[in-house]
Amino acid sequence: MTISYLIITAGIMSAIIYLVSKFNWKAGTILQTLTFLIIGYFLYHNGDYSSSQLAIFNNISLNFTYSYFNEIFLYLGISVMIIVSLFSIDGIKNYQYKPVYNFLTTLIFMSILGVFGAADFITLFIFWELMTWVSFFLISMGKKYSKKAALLFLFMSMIAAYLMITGIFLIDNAVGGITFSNLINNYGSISYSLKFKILMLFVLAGLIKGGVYPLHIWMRTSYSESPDSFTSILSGILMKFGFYLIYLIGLFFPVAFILKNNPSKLISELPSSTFFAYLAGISIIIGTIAAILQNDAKKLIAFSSVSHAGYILLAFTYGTSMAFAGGVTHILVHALTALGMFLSIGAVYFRTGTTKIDELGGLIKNMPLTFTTYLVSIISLAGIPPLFGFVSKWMIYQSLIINGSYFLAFAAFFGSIGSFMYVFRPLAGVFLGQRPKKFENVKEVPFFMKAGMLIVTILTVLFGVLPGLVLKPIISMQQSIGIEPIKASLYRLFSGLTTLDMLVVFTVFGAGFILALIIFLLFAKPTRVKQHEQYTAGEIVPELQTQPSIYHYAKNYYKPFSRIFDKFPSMEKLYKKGAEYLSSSFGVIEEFFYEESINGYIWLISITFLVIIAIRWF
Amino acid sequence: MINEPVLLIVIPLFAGFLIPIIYLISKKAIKYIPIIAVFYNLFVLIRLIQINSTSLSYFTTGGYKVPFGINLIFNSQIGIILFAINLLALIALIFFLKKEFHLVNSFAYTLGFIIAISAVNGMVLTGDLFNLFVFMELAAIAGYIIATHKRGYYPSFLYVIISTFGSLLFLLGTITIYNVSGTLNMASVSENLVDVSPHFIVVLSVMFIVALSSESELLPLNAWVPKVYEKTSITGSIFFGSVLSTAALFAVIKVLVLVFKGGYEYLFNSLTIIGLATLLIGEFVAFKQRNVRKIVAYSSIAQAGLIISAVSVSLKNGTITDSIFNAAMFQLLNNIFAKGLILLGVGLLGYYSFEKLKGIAGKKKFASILITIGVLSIIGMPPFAGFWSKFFLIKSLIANKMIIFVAIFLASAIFEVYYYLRFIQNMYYEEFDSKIKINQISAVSYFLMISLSFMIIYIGFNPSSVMKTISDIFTGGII
Repeated sequence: MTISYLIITAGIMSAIIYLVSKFNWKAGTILQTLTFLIIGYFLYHNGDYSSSQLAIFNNISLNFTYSYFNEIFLYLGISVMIIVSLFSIDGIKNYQYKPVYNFLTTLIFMSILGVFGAADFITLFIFWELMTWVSFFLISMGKKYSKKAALLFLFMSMIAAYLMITGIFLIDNAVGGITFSNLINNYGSISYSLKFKILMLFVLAGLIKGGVYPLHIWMRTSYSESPDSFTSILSGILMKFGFYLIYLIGLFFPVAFILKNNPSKLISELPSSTFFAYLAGISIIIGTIAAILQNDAKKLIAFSSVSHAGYILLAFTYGTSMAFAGGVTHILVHALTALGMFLSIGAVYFRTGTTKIDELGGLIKNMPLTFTTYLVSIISLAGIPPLFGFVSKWMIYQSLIINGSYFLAFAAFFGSIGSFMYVFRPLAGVFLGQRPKKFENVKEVPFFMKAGMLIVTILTVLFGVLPGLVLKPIISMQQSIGIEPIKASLYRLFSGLTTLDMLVVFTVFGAGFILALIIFLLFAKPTRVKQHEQYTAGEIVPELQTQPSIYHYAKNYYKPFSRIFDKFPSMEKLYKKGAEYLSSSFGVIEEFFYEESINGYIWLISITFLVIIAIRWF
Repeated sequence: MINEPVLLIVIPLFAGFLIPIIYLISKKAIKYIPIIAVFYNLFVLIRLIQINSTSLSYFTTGGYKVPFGINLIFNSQIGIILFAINLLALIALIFFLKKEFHLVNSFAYTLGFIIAISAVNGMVLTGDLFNLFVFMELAAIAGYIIATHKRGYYPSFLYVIISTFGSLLFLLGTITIYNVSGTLNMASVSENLVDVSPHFIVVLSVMFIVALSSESELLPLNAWVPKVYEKTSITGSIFFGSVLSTAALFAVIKVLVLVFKGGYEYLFNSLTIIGLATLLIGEFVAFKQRNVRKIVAYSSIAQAGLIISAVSVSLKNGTITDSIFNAAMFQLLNNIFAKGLILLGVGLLGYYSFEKLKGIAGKKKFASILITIGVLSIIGMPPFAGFWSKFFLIKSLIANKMIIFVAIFLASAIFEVYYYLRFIQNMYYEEFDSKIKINQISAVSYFLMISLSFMIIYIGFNPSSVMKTISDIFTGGII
């Protein structure tokens, strides 16, 4: 089955899933999961690289390909969708528009296949746009402020899309075709300045979608307000579209990574890659700080995504073969860990109805699997060995160290250390500590939600121990595009400096964990205290009953730290001010051109006369 | 005789004369006359499209040969656009007779409508400047009747004043042209204008630009548009939104192509600037609106600006740059259906302000989905028709290195996407106010909406062949 058939299947199934969900939403969601599974199976079963066309349009045919460069992304997209769909079988119980949700997520699946499976830029753009409006409707389904969030998402996505379409047609003009292969073959004939323009348009579009500072403004609200299971898709896949674009344009426009291996004229002339590397560094730092300051778990993860977007961009712009592989791996890492984090926070929301850290606490006893998923995901996200996240960060650090860039190395390490701070906050505030009384009877989530989270956990550990499973397609991709591949075996990685053996790391950490567990079980004598006890010291505090959250120990968790950044200028506020100014100026325009009375109108006509004649004279 | 395009004008006009006579006999029977006339028109159009080739041909009237008598210009592409216009007129008419016949002065309204259809067909077909003036006046007079609604007379009054001003200027321009060129036939005028001094051309151009801006919704004479759209009946809004505005735009484009072909760079530059200003201002103002009809009105203004500026850019070099021109015509065609669908759908829901439309999709699911299709098409989302016209327009503009044009166009398009989807979001995801009365939508109305959305989806999945059928309207040569 070629990709074009799979896409048609997904399109047809979306309608069937909608109809089935109308009668029984659970059956519809199960059907959705099965559809995704079967489509994934067919893609895997077919195995060989292939190209296909969808020629329902007379002159415009959509080209798809299943090839070395997109194989890994296709599998990523499909597996994330399968996991989220599995999670949704129980997880969308409280949603208001279940059939529509299922219908739209199936369309999202279709657009993922289309974007990652595209063999030309127009196909990519069509499915990208499809994703944009479908996501808009999906985000709007979420929580209280989701409508505004969706509009902001839409606004930013449209900017990205229009930048991209401009770039696409510039390519079309320059090389006379928009297929990837055409671009590769005629790459040499494009002039330098045009290359620069095209590159900038695509990279800017990618940065908006990928959420790199200062273009990240849509992420905070879109992530926190969208429906929980869709947030996982949004951060797991849709945000990665941006980096897929940068990755693609990087493949065909060897700006950053290929430059360093095959020096060409472009390197010396193009300052962009350094500029973007520094932008990535800033993004890491700002994302990290902002994440530390959040009280809402989903907003926290949103800002952590800004920081990790910085890591991916840093790797892509940095240049070496190792960094490139690290960037692709980090996309996978972040997809998987963000998925795990959002699913577990979604599970908490499913049972408790809140994601505010200082309203929760002590849920480890009630939801052990959710806790485990969260724990594994954050360990991976923070890049602590022995999990998957460590592998990609190790690769990025290796290339940073080898090439020696102080600011970028500082930023990367700052992001790593800062991430301990922010990932720990929900861990301590949501799962550990004392449990508020109202959550004493909270149960673990239903079976299918557990199953989804379990798969994410297993994958994160598995890829951590055996990174070769993921690195193998990356290596073959590097070989195909003709750059020197990284050296890696199933569980070993070699850089110029050192060798990383994940099996050893895992064994050491496993042994350490078991040792600590033994010590804990033998010697620890925990005392159980009720919530708020340490504050009241026996006194009766009146607010304790009415507003318990202000005495929650996770309230103002990093107060000394956040005090440092109190006066920090906020990019979002700046944008907001600009938007308000713009909106009020539109009012002025309306009053001027479309006012009620005819009198003022005469002026307008006279002015037009004057202007038209003036154009002639000047 | 059946193969003459003049039938498209004569039949509705004849029906218009028939109405008062029939009215004396039976007050209800006048319902059926316009329907029969428009159906007949569509039938004639299908014949004409089959017979005529893609090259322009002249059809003389009254036996006078081309430069002297009044003549009509027709080819199969014009036929397609006329077909779409007449189809929308038919839809508006069916809706009117079904729903609004008893609400308004049925005699005047029916008469006005059928005369308007005749005038609109004339505007699209005629190849004569003075004749165009007559049809524009006729359409405007019929438009005054259609615009008038008991919700407010002021917009209609404003429309009368502005449109009269435009007509006067047009007449003045036509007289001046006749003075210098000695003919009123559009194609012969352009040949005779060659020796005229450039300063004279400037004055002439300014006259025509301002004159044509009132009907084609361009700045500076478009202040009537939002007010009329807001206050008129549903039928009226479809008539203005899809029928009259399209025909007027087409007439303007025809004048530009046939009369001002050749190197009037100044004229086309100013028109490009005016068009882009109209586009930007229209989108900006629409961004502030919280009433769907006003949104569609301002967006329609903006689209008119876009189409006119694209056309004038394509004409700038003295010849027609085909790719841009065709894309603009495609955009014109797509807007007919999308705007008609939105206006019809919103009219059927019965409410226009965001406040009252809140959450109405929960109660009227199917109608809301159809409106959504129209909106997604007009903002250019795949897989609907509007995506492709936007696509071809951007493609051709970039191919001709009009980067600034593209930048302005896309920047305004972002706003358009934003406010249209805000309206849709408001319909779907807000709490429904239970005090609001839900209007029943009849099967006929659903059928009309479905047929419109079918057109949109058909074009969306078959863009190239549809575009091919309407491309090269004026470049196929004249027989």
